[in-house]
Amino acid sequence: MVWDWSYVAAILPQLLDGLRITVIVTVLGSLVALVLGLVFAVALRGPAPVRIAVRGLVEFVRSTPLLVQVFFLFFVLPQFGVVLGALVVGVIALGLHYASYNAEVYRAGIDAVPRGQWEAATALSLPRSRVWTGVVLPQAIPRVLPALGNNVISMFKETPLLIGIGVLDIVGRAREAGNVSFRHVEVYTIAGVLFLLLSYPAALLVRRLERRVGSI
Amino acid sequence: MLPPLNNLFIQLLKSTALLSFVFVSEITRQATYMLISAFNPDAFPILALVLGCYLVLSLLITTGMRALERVAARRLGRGPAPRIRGREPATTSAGRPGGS
Repeated sequence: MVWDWSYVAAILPQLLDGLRITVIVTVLGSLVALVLGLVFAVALRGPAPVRIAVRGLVEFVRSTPLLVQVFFLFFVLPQFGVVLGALVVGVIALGLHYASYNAEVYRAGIDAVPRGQWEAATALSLPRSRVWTGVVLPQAIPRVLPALGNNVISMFKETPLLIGIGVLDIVGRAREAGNVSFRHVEVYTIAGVLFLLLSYPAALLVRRLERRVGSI
Repeated sequence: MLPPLNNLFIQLLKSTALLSFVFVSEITRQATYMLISAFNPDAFPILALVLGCYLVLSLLITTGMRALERVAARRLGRGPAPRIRGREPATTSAGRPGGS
């Protein structure tokens, strides 16, 4: 099959529109994942019933495929009267999945805070909320920022899974265009190149961040 | 080397679900085929079962790798590495969401 540049020019606007959806899903999904992951990580240090429930949820989400979780939310939520669009379901599924990965990342950061800091906070009889927001998290989070950045990049690369529930992201658009014209080489190549163009600079940024964190 | 290998194995297990996009008739494909083309109303039990299957498989992998780790540690004449927060304590609670 010959490479057809005019065809590439014709499909590029569609693919860029799909890329917009991919980026939106990634940004919203990472917001959910970053916040929810922190909640999970703090809950893992909480009282026993909460800790066990959250640990179970995190292990369950980490042990099952994201694709099946996406299908699960998409097909099961309407049965409980929660009807959401495919995009919202996708954001929730990606957010929940990566929240459990991020919970482990945050946990590593929290574990790395020296014991003396906890003891000092207790000695000053700081309230529990102040210990977290004023002492532990400001030391824990900067150290794990590169790992969190890597998770955001992974999420960006996993958004095409949402074509399973009909989200027209970049790969969804590519598949659509390929099915109409029966030319699949260009669409998927361009989709891959666009992914590379976004994720490689992001990876370089994370690497720079890693060096900065290493020097702290 | 063995603990990272365990993670990789579980990742590999989870990636097999992707094959449903290229029409390999694995469990995810079968489940969604049942749901979408048959307009099956039992989405919850079917997908819960699929999730449960993956969970059981990954727990089996973890158990197997854990056993290998113990064997390897014994061969080197060391005790098993202490695990404060491994995957093991969560097995009982992790089974709950998938099973219910």
